[in-house]
Amino acid sequence: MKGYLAIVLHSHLPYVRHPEFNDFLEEDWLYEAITETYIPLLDVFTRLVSDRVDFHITLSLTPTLLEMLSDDLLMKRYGRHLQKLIELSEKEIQRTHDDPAINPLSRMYDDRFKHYMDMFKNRYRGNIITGFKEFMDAGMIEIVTSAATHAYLPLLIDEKWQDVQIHTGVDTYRNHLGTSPEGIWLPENAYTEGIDRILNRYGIKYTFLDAHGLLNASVRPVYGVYAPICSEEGVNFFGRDMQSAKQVWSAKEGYPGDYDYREFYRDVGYDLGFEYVKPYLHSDGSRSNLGIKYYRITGQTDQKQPYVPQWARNKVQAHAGNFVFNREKHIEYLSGIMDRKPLIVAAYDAELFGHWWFEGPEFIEHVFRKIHEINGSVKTITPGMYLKEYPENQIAQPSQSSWGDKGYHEVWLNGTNDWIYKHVHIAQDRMDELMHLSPVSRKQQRAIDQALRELLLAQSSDWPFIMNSGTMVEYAKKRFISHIARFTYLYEQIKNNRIDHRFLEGIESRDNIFPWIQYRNYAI
Amino acid sequence: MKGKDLKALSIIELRKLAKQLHVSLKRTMTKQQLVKAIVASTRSRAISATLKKRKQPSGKIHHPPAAGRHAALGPRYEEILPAYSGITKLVLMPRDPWWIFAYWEIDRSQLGKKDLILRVYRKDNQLYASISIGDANNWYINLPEPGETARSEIGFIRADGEFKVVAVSNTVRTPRAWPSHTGYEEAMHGFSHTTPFTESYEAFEKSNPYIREDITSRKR
Repeated sequence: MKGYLAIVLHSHLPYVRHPEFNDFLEEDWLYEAITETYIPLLDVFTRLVSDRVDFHITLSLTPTLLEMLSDDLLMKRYGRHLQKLIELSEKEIQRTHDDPAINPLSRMYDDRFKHYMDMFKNRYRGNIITGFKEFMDAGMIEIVTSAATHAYLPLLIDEKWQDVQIHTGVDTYRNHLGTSPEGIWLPENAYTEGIDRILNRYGIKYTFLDAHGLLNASVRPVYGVYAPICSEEGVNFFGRDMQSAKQVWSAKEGYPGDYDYREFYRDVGYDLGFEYVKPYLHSDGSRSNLGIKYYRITGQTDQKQPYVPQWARNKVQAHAGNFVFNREKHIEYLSGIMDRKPLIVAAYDAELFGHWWFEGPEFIEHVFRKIHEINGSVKTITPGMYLKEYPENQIAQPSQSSWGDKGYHEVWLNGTNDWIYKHVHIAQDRMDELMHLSPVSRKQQRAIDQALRELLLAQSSDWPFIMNSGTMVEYAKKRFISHIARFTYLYEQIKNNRIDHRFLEGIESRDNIFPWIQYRNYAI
Repeated sequence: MKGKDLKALSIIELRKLAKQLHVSLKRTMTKQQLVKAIVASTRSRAISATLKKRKQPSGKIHHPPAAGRHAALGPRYEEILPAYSGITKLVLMPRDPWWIFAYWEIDRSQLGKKDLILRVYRKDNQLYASISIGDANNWYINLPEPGETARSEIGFIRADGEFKVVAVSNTVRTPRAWPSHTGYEEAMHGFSHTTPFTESYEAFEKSNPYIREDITSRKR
């Protein structure tokens, strides 16, 4: 064994919860992620463990995701969502019984959904966090935290608020997982000098940056991105390897574009007759992705052909084999010129595996199986384990950077979204004011806690990201504006000590993230 | 509808308002002429309604009717961003190694018609740019060197020629754009002609892995 591979999956969703409606389109993001990525990954881990395949993987579960996965209302709705999918897949089996190409696929989905329902309801009792915790306690997964509402920390400008985001992220992790996090996934890997000081304050030992965050550090890293660097504050930074990233990420060069893999854009929610799928769409009647897709990519053509699971499975094994082969060669080369064991950090958005790339979870499974089978130059590891073996690393201050397009902050700061920051920063100043109000009644304190929730939700990097991406922009705008407006309304009421009780109760029940939060616990 | 209310608006706002009311405009009209023309217009009810929206920012939240699918996201006031009064704030934000973004809120109540100027200072307090901001409330500024600090001020030139500062910004730091020269020898010493470092750097130069093409450009 000559070196290590650390696969890191970043799982994040913005806090979307609309109790004021019976069903809400954007809540689908969570339900799709659970059905297509999180449960399938837990399924993969379960199979690996039962086959005694040794593996180590790192997962970030962001605070907003943890809060949603343990929210009663959302999980009840998820159960309903999955139940409807099962109903639809049963109807599909009937409808396609004459079609030898499609009928086996309907059965495949039916089996899957029923298996996932069994896992969700029976094994995990409606809370899949238990599943991740099981594998964490057994030593296979390392779970890292993230900032409270996934705020783009460098653009908050005021360090106090970077601190509050990280502090709350650490607290949320503790509440849901019962231990303290050793590592953190900074939102978008966005880093600026000073964040290391904050991380150290909360006992965080390491985080991740895109390659240039390390390569452009204050001192050239001797090992490039193949070993972590450590800042003067004692926090370690792991750099992402671009080669392993591109093999999976790149739409052109990466595996997911293979013609035998499942085509994302041929979903029954769009393909089938409206009256037939209507009961499975949202109450507003708009067509949406349901998750049952029958076609493969086929080629650069609109004439998509039916999906053939066996062909896809063969490709997954071939691609996993190729991925492992490349990592083996890479490690062999690096270990020949490094005086310590090299580490390749392969970091991805979790939803790539399963949601965007249907075969993704199986790919991960086969990568682990292959590595275990050949028992060659590469072993899987987590950053925490690597630091135990190499506790001393080159001292350097990382470069301000992010993993976003173009490597810095432009995605979150451009003509589509730069207008939000004035409102965020003024709200931050005002929140600071509220937190120092004295004397203050119990009612005011309760309102100040809620004002803090509204501010945290407004600080979400998801809103400017969506505004930049051009799809679902109206939703992001409405969310951002409503949190700032709610915050401002609360601010005025608190300052005048005229709290509208019905309003407060109303937004407490809607924006109920971090129900345990208390502003007095923040020393700012 | 009062001429007094109209006088409080800027020329740009008056021209917009005049256009909305189909008041015939000339490019050379002064503010006074614009106000007169609008007052003379017969659509008084429409003007009052428009004016309510354009009142000087008072820190209060407006209550226009909400519409569309998201209307019921909350009470109607949630459709509108707050207006700020009495706040003076100037903030610099980093965008990438060569660009910073500046935005400001200026309490103009004491300033009247002064022409405001944004001054940008690079490290060692060199005055780098002096920008007449007019009615703008934000600006993207190009800096000549990456990995530097900058700060700024907004002010106006007094009658005696002195620059009177009205707002002061934070200090912003832009990211580095390339590897450090420090540690160059150590990074290269003892290895063959390519090291993990140069290999990474070459791959870094050749491709841009952050170009999140097809797969995630279709992301929500």
